[in-house]
Amino acid sequence: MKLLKVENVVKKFGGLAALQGVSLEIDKGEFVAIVGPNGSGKTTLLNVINGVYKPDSGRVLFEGRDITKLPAYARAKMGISRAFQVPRPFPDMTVLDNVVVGALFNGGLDLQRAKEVAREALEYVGLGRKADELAGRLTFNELRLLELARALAGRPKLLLLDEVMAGLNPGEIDNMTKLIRRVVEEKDIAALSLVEHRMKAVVQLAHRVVVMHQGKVIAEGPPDVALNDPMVVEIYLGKPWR
Amino acid sequence: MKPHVPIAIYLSLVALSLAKPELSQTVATVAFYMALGQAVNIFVGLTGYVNFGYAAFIAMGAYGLGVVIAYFPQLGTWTLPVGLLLGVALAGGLALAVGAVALRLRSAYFAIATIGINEALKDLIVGAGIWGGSSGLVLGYNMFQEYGRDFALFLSTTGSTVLILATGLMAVAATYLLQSREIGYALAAIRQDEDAAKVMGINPAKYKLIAFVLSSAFSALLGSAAFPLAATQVFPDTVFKVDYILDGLAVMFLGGAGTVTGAVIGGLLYVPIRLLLGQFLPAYQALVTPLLVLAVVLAAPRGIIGELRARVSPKIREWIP
Ligand SMILES: Nc1ncnc2c1ncn2[C@@H]1O[C@H](COP(=O)(O)OP(=O)(O)OP(=O)(O)O)[C@@H](O)[C@H]1O
Ligand SMILES: [Mg+2]
Repeated sequence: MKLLKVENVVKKFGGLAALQGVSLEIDKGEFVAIVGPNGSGKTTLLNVINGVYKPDSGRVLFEGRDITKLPAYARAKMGISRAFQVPRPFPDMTVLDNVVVGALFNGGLDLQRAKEVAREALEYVGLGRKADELAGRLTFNELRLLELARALAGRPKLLLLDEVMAGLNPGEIDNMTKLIRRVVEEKDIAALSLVEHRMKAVVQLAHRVVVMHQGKVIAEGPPDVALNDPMVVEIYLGKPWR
Repeated sequence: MKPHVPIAIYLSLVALSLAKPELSQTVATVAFYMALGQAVNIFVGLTGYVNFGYAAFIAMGAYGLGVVIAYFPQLGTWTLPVGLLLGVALAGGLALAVGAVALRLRSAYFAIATIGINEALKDLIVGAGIWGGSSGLVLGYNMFQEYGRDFALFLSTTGSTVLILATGLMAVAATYLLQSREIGYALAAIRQDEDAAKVMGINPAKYKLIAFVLSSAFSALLGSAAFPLAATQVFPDTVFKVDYILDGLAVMFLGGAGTVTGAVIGGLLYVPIRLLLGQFLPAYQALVTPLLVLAVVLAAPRGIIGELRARVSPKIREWIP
């Protein structure tokens, strides 16, 4: 059984069809990258998967169960965690407490265990020293790491990463790439990572790449194959990948 | 977090009102605002939602006890616990009904939806002539019958003051317990980013409803203490007053929204501040509270305790939760 199955999802905003019949499958432990230019519908797809939006038609199945009508919080409890494209910390809480929220409600742990797991998650991403600071005081790079720690503390089966490299400098991208590689290798979780540009660092980690354009999936396969697809090359201004 | 300071303040006031009955009235006035601020804080401070329907909760408390004293004299002394329970049940039921529907709305829409509750209930009582209608419930005679003269007099003076203080103390304990448990994390997350909270597995409607019902129950106890017990009467015009939410907000913001100690400090200061400002601006009494809220929100949005907490070391912060 597939961990996640998206079937023919359509999502319209007024006249604009942000998703025009998108289908997608993810296996347990699989790392999939969705590549697509600005406005191609990547974030919208994520929102349909984790319940922020209900699709106009189509279905979403998680572990074989139809979750299309479930609210976002119920899906989180089933094991779907998310790191936002624009970090959304709870600014007046400490960094630790932010992660405790993930462990408590996303991860379903009791308070004491949640605090332990939150500390571990902060150490894992390298934010241990900042645990007692207010989240509102973090730098952008630290906020990205906090998003990841919070999502990991939810002990997800499926991790949704929305352009977690955007806005980082090369050194920080390198660090984040190593982290995500560790997550993929060490933890038994599937991940769906959104990438705006064909950022090599992330794409190379992926077992499979899905290319989106104007609300549709236009190519899919191992990184080399999908990204060298003639239509994909054309969309990216004629530049072949690599 | 250590709740000793707010608890100690409440216990001192209990001791004061028992030791010096002549001060009971003053203590009751101050304590009423402290406890009201605390009750308002449990919902407004912890969730970030505003409810303009507090007068309705206070009224349910007042009528709950008032109705039992007025219509069930055969219960004797039992009218007191039964009436208090009825008041809490009426307010809690109202909060459940309103909350289940309206708490799905976003904060601004929720606030607007609650404005109508006071008027609707008041019109119902006056219009349909239930529970004494527009002439209210006058309870002195029944209270003498049910409690005996001495106990009735005690209840309407020191007794009601102690009930107000006990309500405030319970609200302090509730705030503290909410803050230090799972639900405290959920409420803080909802207050800061409700959509992100949802994505993290929090069902906002559930936690907002818990805070709303708790807050309504404490407001009801205050209504029971201040009207049937202390004033020995319940009139629609005095219990359904929008002023209560303004007072509650003023106390909460002055002391610090979302804190445990804030409403205690805010309440202690509120009555003297109003008296002082009232002397300088005698013609503008009605403006004092809104102006005070405005000034605090603009100058020190975190309130006295909130600003203090942001400035002191984590060790001291423990002591002013
Ligand atoms: N809430 C919304 N209301 C209206 N239109 C929306 C909404 N969310 C997304 N859209 C539109 O849907 C289309 C797809 O947006 P989406 O955010 O999914 O793209 P994306 O691939 O994530 O791009 P980006 O690189 O900008 O993050 C865009 O045209 C966008 O303007
Ligand atoms: Mg996006």
